[in-house]
Amino acid sequence: MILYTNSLKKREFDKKGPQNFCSERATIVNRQGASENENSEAAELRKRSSGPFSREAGEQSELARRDPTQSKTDSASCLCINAKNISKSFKSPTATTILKNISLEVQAGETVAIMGKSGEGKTTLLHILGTLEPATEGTLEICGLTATSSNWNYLRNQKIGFIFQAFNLLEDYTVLENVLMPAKIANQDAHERALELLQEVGLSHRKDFPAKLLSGGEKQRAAIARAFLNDPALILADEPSGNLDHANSTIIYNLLLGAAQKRGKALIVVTHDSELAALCQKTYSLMDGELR
Amino acid sequence: MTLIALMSVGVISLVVWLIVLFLSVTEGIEKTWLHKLTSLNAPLRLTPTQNYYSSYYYLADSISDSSHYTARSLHDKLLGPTDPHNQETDEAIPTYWSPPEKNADGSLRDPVKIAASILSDLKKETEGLAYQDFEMSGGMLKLELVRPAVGGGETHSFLTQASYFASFADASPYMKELISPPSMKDLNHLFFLCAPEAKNFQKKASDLLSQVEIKTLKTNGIWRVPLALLPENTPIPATAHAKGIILTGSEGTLKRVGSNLFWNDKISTLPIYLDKEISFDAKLVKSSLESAQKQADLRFHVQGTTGNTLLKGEIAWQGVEIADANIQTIFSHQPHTTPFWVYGIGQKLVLPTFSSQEKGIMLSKQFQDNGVRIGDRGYLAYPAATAGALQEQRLSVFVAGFYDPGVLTIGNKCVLAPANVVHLINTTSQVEHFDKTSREGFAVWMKEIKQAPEIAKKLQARLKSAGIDHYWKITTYKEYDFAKDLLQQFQSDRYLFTLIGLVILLVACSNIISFLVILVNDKKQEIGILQAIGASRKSIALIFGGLGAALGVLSSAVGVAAALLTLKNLDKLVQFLSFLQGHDAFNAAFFGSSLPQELSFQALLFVLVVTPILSLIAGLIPAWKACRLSPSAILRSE
Repeated sequence: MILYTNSLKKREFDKKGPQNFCSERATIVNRQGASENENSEAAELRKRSSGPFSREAGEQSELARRDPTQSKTDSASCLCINAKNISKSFKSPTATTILKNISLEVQAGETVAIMGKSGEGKTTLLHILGTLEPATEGTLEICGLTATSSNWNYLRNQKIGFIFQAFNLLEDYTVLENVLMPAKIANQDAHERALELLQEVGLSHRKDFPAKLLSGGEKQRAAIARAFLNDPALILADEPSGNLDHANSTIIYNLLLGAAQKRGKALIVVTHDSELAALCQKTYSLMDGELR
Repeated sequence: MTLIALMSVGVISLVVWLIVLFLSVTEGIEKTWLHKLTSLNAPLRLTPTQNYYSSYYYLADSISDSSHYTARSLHDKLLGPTDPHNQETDEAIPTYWSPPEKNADGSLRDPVKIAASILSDLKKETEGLAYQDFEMSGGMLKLELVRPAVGGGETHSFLTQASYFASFADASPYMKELISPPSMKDLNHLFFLCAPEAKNFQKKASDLLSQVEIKTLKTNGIWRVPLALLPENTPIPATAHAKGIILTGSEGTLKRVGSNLFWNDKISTLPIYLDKEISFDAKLVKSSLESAQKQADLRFHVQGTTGNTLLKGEIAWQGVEIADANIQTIFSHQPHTTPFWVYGIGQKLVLPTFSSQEKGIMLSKQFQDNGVRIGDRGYLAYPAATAGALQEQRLSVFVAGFYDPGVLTIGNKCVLAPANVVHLINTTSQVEHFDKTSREGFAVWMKEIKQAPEIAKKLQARLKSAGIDHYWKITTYKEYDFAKDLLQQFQSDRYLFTLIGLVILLVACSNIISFLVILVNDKKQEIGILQAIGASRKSIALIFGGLGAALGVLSSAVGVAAALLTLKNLDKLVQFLSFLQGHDAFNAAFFGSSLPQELSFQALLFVLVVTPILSLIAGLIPAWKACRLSPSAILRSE
């Protein structure tokens, strides 16, 4: 069963944001000056990043130029994620509050690990941060845009890259098709970029393989390539090494952290593994619904 | 999943096939019936109104010597003078008559000639349009049926039926297809009728044989084998009968040795008959015709087989009848001898007339089915006033052919006769069989009967501009009394069938709901993944809604293609159904000799529009379900 969605999205994205900022980015960044508007670390990371892979600053500026009401000030745009007082409650089967007034700010280029016991709500928090699930209370801003149900699709496609424990690849599609899927949804041509990403994750030789034939480690690498395809500002990873052995876990973590830092992306990882969490710049612990 | 999808497509295709096939056949039957109905009666009629019959123009004939003080038919009016009245010799015009309507130049306005001229103009402008004046009357048809008697001689019986007499429409472009050609039974009967008059037999038989080429003869019941026909010394199976007691035969073999017949290897003393039907290729021995006094004097060279034995030789026309013959019905010019049947000279049909005393008539084919044959004689009887009393008058006629009355309710009672016969009955009969305003007029035929309303509109406008519209009433087939009920029934049937088709289609399309709901459940993970990487709910819904519509389009295409294929091979299907039932699946009297095979455009439009729409609607339900799925819940469960 083949599902086609790319053509359906074009108009939506045309309305919500620019499709190609690469040529504008240099101009805008040069005019405003990266050091003036962004923190030094992020600016440094951006300087190091190469090619068409870093465009968020230009994009945000473009968004601000087009619709100033939806965008924060330039200094605030350094915040990839700004969650305030996020709460999540369930009414059934019994009334339970799983997340209590959680606030979280993650800057561009920052890597954050969230640890906690099973059932503490780590995945729920990650899904809320990734707009896959609404919070009961609280506000969420991603790259200066307030997340509402009307822009969730846009945010998921353009601002957020997901990596799941269960990989969540389209099993009947080839590796390349899986990686290209976010671009297809946005009706963009990213073939070259996809090949570059596959090269980077070491899957060039598997690009025409159906995803179902890959090993667990290969699947997760393909998922990482897919998460980075549309050059999102924020990468959310839910137990990315949960289904992998230690060796593969290390490879995946190195790949993920390396790719995020190289491109100046904000990375939030939910994990049990304290050894891997230690590789992140910040580590939070979710306990009794609170982030500490 | 593929199997379920195929089943959905299959079920919808089957329903589409059924609808297209059924609606096409019923529309075809409707067209055939309408065609038959209007071939005889014309799809458009122009009839005089009461104004015409009370006008000076019409009434003047009744006081005019040049019209023999008799009202003239439309045909006579077309050929005769506009104003027959002579003020000096004819009686004065009654003062209570309406004043004559005159043209600008003072001459009497001629509504018949003007109407004919308008029709003539329309004929030039419209391809396939034809018109002719018609007249109808009524009376009794009496036929004397002379038939050969068993054991020789002849029997006489009589057939009487109250009938309508309609003028034979020789200008109708459709009359030709309504006429049944003379059958072999008709031919055998005509030759039988030649026989009683021995002095004329040779001439009558020659006349008939000049238009009929006998190709095949067949034995009629048991047949006494001529000795010369049997091959020398070859036994053939036969039945021996005591003379005159034909039912007490015994089976055996027959053999000719020299001039002797051997029955079971013994010289025969009894006449030997073959009781098996044998067909012979036959050729008339022309010399036998020259001196023939009776049918048995005519001889044929024949060749046929019984079992594996070849029978070849010359036989007399006795105990055999015509099985196949070429009958000449179309002539390039008036034939030297008039055929007994309706014939054509070029494109024009001619009803044969042998003298002013004996005219050919055509009866509906039901008469033929009931044993009436071409050549049967009789008369048309009607009551007319004489000096003393009301008496039955008779006009001699003979049966010259049979026509298909279609579904016309009075079809079996309608006799087609020469126009002058019908007019004579109308002017002399003391019984008004029809309302004046419908017993005569102009019949107008056109290529497609659907053109009738449009032509009626044109005609009305032209009659009005000519100032004679108050003399004429235009009626199309939709307003005919005898057709109205039928047409309404057709329309109701069509609505009912379409409604039933819609309901069946709706049920079939609901299959799509089941299929897509299963598909949505099966593809939950993919839906969740796509939503996680940015696919909107709308686009997810469109995938499944579009899939429903695509299934509908595909099913329609398959169903229509299957229907086209079936229509092309409908005869074979009908044969199969007939075989299953053991009798004709569709009565030819109602459905024609074969079912219509033309694809109905309306049916096609119906399925091609309705099926995808219903499928799309059916697809929206699972589409709604798909777009309501929470990506978080899906991805969490994986």
